Amino acid sequence: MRLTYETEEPTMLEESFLKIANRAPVMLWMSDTAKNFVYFNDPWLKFRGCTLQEELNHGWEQGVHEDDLSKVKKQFDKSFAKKEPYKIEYRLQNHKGQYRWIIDNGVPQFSDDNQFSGYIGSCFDIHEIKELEHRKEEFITAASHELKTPVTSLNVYLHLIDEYFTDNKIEKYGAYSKGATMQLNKINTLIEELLDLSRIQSGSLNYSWSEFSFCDMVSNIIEKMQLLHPNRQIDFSGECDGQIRGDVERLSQAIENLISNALKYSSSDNKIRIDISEDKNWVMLSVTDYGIGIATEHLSKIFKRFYRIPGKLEATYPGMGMGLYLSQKIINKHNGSISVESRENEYTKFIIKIPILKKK
Amino acid sequence: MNNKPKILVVDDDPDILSVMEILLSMKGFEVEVTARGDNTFSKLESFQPNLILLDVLISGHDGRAICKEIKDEPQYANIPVLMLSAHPGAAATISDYGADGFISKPFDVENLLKKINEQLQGSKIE
Repeated sequence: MRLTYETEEPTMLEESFLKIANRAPVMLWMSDTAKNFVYFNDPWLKFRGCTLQEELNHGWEQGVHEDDLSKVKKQFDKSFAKKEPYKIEYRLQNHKGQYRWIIDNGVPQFSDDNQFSGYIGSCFDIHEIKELEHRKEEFITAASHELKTPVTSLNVYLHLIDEYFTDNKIEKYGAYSKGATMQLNKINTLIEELLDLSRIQSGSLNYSWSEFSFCDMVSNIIEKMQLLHPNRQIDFSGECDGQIRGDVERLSQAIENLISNALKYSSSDNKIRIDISEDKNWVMLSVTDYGIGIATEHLSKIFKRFYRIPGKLEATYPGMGMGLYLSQKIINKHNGSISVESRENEYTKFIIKIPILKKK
Repeated sequence: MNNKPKILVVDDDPDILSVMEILLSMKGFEVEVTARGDNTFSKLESFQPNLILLDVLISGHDGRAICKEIKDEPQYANIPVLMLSAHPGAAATISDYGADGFISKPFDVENLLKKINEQLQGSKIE
């Protein structure tokens, strides 16, 4: 489609396309192969309160929020080089001078003989959704924080009760107070997960980086998990001497999640297996259980936030669908990857890979 | 004569204050608590604590700033300050303010007592 309709009369077909483009409830733009923006539709110009001439080429960039501009340009350069579709959210100034969050979907265009001809993008105003998301995250943070104060007090009271029972050798009740403390620890883990989730959403999940032995970390995790689950058989095999760079607490959290899941979704008389290995560039860990397994159609969705596999059997397992999402985010932050293999009613195996920094 | 080590607890939550008072008194400390950040200094003067447990966020006050004020005051600078917060991320932000340690809420009681005793022993050696 030609776009120089200002100097030439458009054909009838072009006219109808222009009409569609200008009346569709979406902001559209088009770029050429040299990254120049050569077209903006009426909804875009109306949103911006600018003329086409002002927006053409790189004029529109004046409207992008200064904190977002370099991100937008980087994304465009990256996608342009690969000729791949992309999605990006950024703030764009409207005709009232207000910055609104928009989502921009860019798609590369190819001619009939497969020649790259530039990009077409469609943008939607998502400001209200963003604000709601922000408020929701603030709520989760505040609620989690408010929940932690009573947990702190309760934990101290339980400790004192437990001490009293222990000192006075009232063993039966000592076991009860220990049980109550364990349940409280579970509540605390859930609160922490909710907090982590909102931190991930707002990009404020903090990592403290250091270098450490992957194998030592895994041994510590298994020791801890075995202590927490004395009646379960956790088999550990393999060796590696790779040092990695990461946040040992966060990475342990991710791996503990996988082990907890393996224990949860398999029956108590089944063992679970943890294997580690390494090649030149990666250390690898797998967690395998011989439990209920995961049907193929759910495998690609289990890492989504709050995703829980539907089904009568699955619904009987407790959980909020946060663990795998958090684990994946943490592992990705370590430039690693996580994948899953499973067969229903047979096994589930999670495999993680983390890049090696150096060998011991 | 009362030789119990003295601990001042500054936290805006009354439930935390009461549980800390119970716990620390049972563990052989003399305890004074305050829910207000702005009277920390008058408490320091009247109570003369050996250690301070200070919440990072006290309604209307930044506990870290209070910590820095304490550490900037020569007569109080040697009193160990352990900061507490329900935000584990706060740990990374306290070192610039001169705090002697960080305890994340909810805390393990044994760990809290261990840190308190370490600080008290450390300050005696000085």
